[in-house]
Amino acid sequence: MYPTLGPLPTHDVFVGLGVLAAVAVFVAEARRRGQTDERIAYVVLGALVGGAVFMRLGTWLQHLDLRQNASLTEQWLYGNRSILGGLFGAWLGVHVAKRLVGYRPRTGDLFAPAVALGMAIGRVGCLLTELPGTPTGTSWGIRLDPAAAHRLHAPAGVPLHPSFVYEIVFHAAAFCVLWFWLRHRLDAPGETLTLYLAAYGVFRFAVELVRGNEVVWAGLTRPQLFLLATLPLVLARVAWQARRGVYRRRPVPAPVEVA
Amino acid sequence: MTQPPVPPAGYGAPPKRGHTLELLVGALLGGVDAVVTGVLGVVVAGNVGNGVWSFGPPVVGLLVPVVLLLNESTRWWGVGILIGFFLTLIVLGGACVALISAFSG
Repeated sequence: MYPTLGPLPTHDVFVGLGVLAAVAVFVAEARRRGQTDERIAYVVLGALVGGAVFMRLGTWLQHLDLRQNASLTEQWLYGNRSILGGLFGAWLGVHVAKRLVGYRPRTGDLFAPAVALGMAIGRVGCLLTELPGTPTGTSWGIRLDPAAAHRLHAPAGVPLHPSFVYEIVFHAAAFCVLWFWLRHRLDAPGETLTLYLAAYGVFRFAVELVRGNEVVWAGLTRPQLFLLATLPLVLARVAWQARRGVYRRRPVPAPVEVA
Repeated sequence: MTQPPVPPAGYGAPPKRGHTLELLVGALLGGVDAVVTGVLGVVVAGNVGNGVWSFGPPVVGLLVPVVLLLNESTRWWGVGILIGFFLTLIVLGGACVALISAFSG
């Protein structure tokens, strides 16, 4: 039995609430930054198309022998949904949309706090419906009742790492840092999203150690292998930008005294 | 030859009308579009016995906003409907799997 809140699927209720919160934050930040160009709607559409497609198809490549993978139809209908795939697709979709409509200004600063808050809320749905994590000896582990354990193919009554709680705390903290501090502190356009994604990539790589996803190669899960290929690029960009002094605050010019 | 009336000094061009209404109502319609065509797709695929047919109704549901994009006067309705459609695909990703599993028995 798939968990529900009344007649609605629990997971989707929280994803929906996360999306609503993200839209509100996005609109507020766009207004604050004066980015009210109507072509922003195309950019948002690009993010949604890319996110929707890649969150479903991003987990398609499970085996190096392509014949062992599901058909695209099976993958679309029954395959796992992936946050990392969705984020990658949204990033790609934004760039394609901006190129198509000729919108040049950076938009990462609009997406960063919106995505962080949306993920913090949306992950509550994962916490309530998915396998929490690997067994733990800590006192804060989650114990599944027999029904939930049967549904999730997990041991009942054994404390499990609340990996989604770790992720909710990360995204909530990231949202607070972005919203109350970094967006006022950083002058370089678009860099808050780069920093947020770099931090999430490092955090996610670590949290995969207790998530309970299938280990497929060299002790690593599929999300870790994806991050192993992509995270160095993001971190290299952050290091390059830091060397260029992009993250240093520009000095405020002293007021000129008029005689 | 008569001259067109000159607007009084101090008045610029009339303010440009936004597209918020078209985007919002379009997004709501797009959400309904995604749900209705998605359910239809599952029903059709269940009757035919081939999963590929589940894409038929959603593809038809996507054609309408794509056609609206082509005309400037309806473009923002098309953008709104597409935003609602893909947003719903993201939000209801899990429900879709549950629905298909239920129909598959």
